[in-house]
Amino acid sequence: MTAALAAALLAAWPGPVQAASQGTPAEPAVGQVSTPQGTKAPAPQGTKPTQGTKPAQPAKPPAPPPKPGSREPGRAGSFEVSAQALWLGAASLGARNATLTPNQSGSGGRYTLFNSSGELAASPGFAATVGYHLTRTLAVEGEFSYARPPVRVTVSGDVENAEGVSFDGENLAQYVVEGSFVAHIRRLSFSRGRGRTFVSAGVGYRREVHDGNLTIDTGQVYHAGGGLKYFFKPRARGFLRAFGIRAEARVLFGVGGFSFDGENTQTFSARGGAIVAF
Amino acid sequence: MTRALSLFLVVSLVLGLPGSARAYQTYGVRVNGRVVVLKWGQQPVRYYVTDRGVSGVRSDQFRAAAERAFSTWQGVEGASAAAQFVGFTSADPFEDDGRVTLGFLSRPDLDRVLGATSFLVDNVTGEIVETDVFLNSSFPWSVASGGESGRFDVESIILHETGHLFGLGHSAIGETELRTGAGRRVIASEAVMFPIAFSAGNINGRELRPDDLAGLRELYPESASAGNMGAISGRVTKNGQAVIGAHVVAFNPQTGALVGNFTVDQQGSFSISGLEPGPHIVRVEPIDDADLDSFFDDPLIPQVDVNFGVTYHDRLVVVPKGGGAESIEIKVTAK
Repeated sequence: MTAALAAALLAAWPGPVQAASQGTPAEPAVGQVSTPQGTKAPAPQGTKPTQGTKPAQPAKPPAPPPKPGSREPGRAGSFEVSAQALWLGAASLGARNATLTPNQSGSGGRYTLFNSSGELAASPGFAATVGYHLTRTLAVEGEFSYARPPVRVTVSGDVENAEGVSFDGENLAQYVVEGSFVAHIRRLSFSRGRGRTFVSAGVGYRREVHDGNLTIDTGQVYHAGGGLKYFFKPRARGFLRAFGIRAEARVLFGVGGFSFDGENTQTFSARGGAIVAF
Repeated sequence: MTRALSLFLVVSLVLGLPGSARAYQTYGVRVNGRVVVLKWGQQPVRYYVTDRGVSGVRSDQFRAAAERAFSTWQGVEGASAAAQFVGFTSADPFEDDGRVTLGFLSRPDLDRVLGATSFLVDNVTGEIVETDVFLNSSFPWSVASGGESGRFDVESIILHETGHLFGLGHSAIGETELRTGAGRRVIASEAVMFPIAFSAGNINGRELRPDDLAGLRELYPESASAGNMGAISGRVTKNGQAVIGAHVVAFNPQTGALVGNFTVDQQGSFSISGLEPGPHIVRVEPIDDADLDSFFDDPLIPQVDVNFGVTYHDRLVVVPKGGGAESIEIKVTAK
């Protein structure tokens, strides 16, 4: 392995970095002088090299060890980015009957031609989040998510006794942009702080694109939920501080958007994926 | 060039009576071998009202009811139909005097016809030359704001007839039952242009329904909002063969709007326009709630297929804003 490649790996992976920061030299590059580990000080400038053609460079003084906790994810001012697969639960779209005006003045009732109801079937999707820690406990998070659930339609009660039918009417592409507050519960952290539980709540804008991509419904979505993050051993150096995994469950309340009855919708989502701390 | 004129008569029925209504949601006239949609080229339509009333309804009350009916059509968002009252006339409706005349006419021979509309059409240009509307004074009438038991509502029936005047045909969105003896009684309907009127005393026919609105928007689209509506088109087939005379209804589950049309050509094609954008459930049924001649030309009637069951298309049809949804095929099976 060349020194250049080794340096690249050192910058990217946690383990060896700490050793390097404590003064252990990496394997020398071609043409550089190898200094026996820990036995001699680097040769002073101007001293002739004992091997090779280039003068030996003095080793940099070892970097000071990081302050305790300064590389830990979740400190104030740090960022977290996640990419998650999600499972969006089924949601009722309500019901609306096809009705006619009855031949009775002032009756107020309606004559039903047939009944219809809709449901967004459960479907997979994905989500990406960017979070910023205001404090070690509180973070704000922005999210984009996408799912394309089938709209399941049921028609029944036809006045002419037509057989009831149920079919997947279309696929509804849902794009959601949300903002959330995330509160980390320190009392419920585990693995010496690498595992952190949290609760979240937020609101977002939901854009629903019907089949053909020409018809759009929009609305808001509110959510509340909770989950956990687990970070592997934090890296002592480099732009990326830590890698981890994240899992979360949410209850979702939809206001506006596509529905048969104009009422709000409720469902849940479960999600999990990778998280990176900066 | 000799100018030939054709007279069409459109009837509004109480109990179902053969008439000579042309076509479906809108009327078509054959001009030089091609079908031209019947509509007014110049607006407002200038109309007169006969100066004779009937028991319970004076001519000025008739005029006020007619103005309310026209005003209802004029108020349709997304359409630009207009009419203007010119004055009273001593002429009766259905006189070929070049004037649009509305009024009562005694026609005891038409014992199930509440009212009718006639068109005088130029066979060369397809333009409407004259249209008259009469209400049959053989029936009891009322202009009471809340309706009057035992009397038919003038405004409701004029609203239907003036729909014809603007060029709308009959709608089939309604359910009826056969009466003992003869004719039909309407159970419920969702279109002012349904060919069978509500019972005496009922004023539900004063309010236009989505099917009526869609028809007027198709005929007289307002340029500013024409791009806001969409359409569904397709075919109805049975064993691979075209079905003629099928009634296709688009139901918008977000709004509850029902808008219908028919398959009227040899390919079993239909087109429903004037729809609000969004997903629709599409239902097909045979015409069994009114006489076929309420909807179709005489030559088409023998070809109308009523031997199939109510069928739903197995997908939602998403109507785009300002355009047409992808053409669909609805396969029905014999009863």
